[in-house]
Amino acid sequence: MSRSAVHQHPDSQSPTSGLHARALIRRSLRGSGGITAIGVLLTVWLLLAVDGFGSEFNRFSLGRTLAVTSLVGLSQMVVLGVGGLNLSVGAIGACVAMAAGYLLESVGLPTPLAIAGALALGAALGALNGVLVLRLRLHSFVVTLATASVFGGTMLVLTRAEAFRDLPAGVADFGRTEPFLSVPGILVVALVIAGLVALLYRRTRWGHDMLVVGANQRAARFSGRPVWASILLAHTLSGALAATAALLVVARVGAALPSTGQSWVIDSFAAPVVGGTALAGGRISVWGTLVGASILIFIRNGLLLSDTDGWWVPFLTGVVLIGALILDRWRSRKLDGAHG
Amino acid sequence: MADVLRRFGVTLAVVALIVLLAALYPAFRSEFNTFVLLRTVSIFAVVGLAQLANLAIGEFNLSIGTLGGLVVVTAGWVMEDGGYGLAVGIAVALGVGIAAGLLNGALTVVSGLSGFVVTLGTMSVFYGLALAISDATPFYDIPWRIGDFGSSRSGPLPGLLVPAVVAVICIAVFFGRSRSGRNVLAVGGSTEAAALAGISHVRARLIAFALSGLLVAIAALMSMSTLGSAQPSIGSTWILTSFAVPIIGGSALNGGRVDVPGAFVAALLIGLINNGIVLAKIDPYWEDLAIGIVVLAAVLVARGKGEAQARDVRIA
Repeated sequence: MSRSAVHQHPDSQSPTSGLHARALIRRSLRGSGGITAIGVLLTVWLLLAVDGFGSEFNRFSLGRTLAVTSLVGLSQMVVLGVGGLNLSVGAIGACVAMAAGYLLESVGLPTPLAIAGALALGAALGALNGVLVLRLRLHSFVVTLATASVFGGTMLVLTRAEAFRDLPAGVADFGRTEPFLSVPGILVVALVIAGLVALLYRRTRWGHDMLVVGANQRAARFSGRPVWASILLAHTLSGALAATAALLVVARVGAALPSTGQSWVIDSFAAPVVGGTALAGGRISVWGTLVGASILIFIRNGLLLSDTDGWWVPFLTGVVLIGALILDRWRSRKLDGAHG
Repeated sequence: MADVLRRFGVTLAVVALIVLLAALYPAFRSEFNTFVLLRTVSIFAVVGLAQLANLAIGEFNLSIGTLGGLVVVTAGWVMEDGGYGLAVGIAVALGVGIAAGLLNGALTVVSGLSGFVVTLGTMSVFYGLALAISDATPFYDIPWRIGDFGSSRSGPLPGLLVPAVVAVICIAVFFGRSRSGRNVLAVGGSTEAAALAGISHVRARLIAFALSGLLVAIAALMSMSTLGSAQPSIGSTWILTSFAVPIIGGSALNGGRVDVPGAFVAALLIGLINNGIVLAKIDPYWEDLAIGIVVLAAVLVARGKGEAQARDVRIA
């Protein structure tokens, strides 16, 4: 079980023989290749069948949504990788957005400092989740269920749910930038961050340790991996990624709203899971998470553009999530069978 | 000392809170306040039992809130647009709850996936269906008798206490005395051991999920009777309550052990916190914060029992 889980994760750089490594790469390509193909087919079909899907305006608005959902998905992906989960991604997002608003509007900090402060808060809240999980020896489900309401409640008590709407003009201006070909600046930021996360898993010991811990915590401990540090790192990273997503929302909206992050939970799981990240830990895919987020958002956008009733959106989101999970389970059973 | 805290901690907290609120706020002692408090507690208790039924088998149910919405809009639709009476409306509501629970259970059985992810998906599906039926607008034209029941009382005791107490007793008897209930707990404790004892995990699973759906339907109908209308958003705040009640009440998160009377006491505690915040005229925003902290405290105290707690919950 543990073996297949470690060996299945596509970004592993474990010191194995060349033959084995090639097999790993082949398998990982097959892993996210399927979902990428589905994503491409879906995109082509939407471009052909839905009026306005490929319009410049729509591409721009899709890009801005995709940026946020991708980061939200990555925020969940990093904790899933270590075998945990984070139900407080949305609450952290709300805290960070409001903190950014407070620092920019009420304190009047220069934008870079305010961004740094807000990011630090996100990372700190994530780290707090990690510390609680480790110190209290509780599953992250319970911890983050409770901290989600603690974080959200504290934010509401402090801000009395009043939005910050007088942010410096530069914030909203950045939300509207489009450096090239109607690709929004917000999306560029998200892609750069996604690239850094991918590098973390592909090139660093820390990334690899997080996956080994996620695949089998006990084995990781016996083989001398830093279990404690890996879990803490994953939760901290999750908080920081949720924070970047929240800051992009602030730039997109041009205001800091207390409702930021309210609807993130399902997407945060759906994007990585559709993209092949294992819920049980040990297997992640940054590329898959981006593709998963795109699929979710493109389907939604296609439905809205073709004037379907609003209820189809949540209905299909749920169906896609369950469908992807059943497919994934079926696929990993086949892989296990072939190598068992 | 630690042992006393573990066994009677929640009850002590309830007593302390009652004494404190009664001493500080004369309004707390009024008959009407007790009525309002117990009405909230009744709904919280049944919402918590719905989660408890799923925890018994070691599975989480995230779809409780949106299923509540789906249940009431289906009942409202049948009664308002279909012109059927209250009895049909209630029967349809209970039927929808059981069917949705069975769907959740069947999906976990067929796919081998955890209740957590399956209900993460069906949470969204049920919400979509509730929107489809209601067009996001409540049904107001429902039989007045249901609203009458929601506001009925005898002295300080609300009529809604009756279904809540009946549910608590039935669920306690189900898990304590009935063969099916014990089988559910056996499978929740250890699927392998239960299989060796010849207990079908499929049957136990379907029973636990269907029971959870039925309890959601009851809670949704109770909630509808206090509002006097069928709102699609009826269960939007239930998720935290549904976990807080069994967790604070001492049920295990990883299955096999439930505490039904404890769940009722926990519902009372959450109701009192809610009531105290209103009476003290504090920001209602404190409520989520307070309940989050109480949940953490409760799991911590429970963990001291030295049992395999919370750590091995099934997510994948």
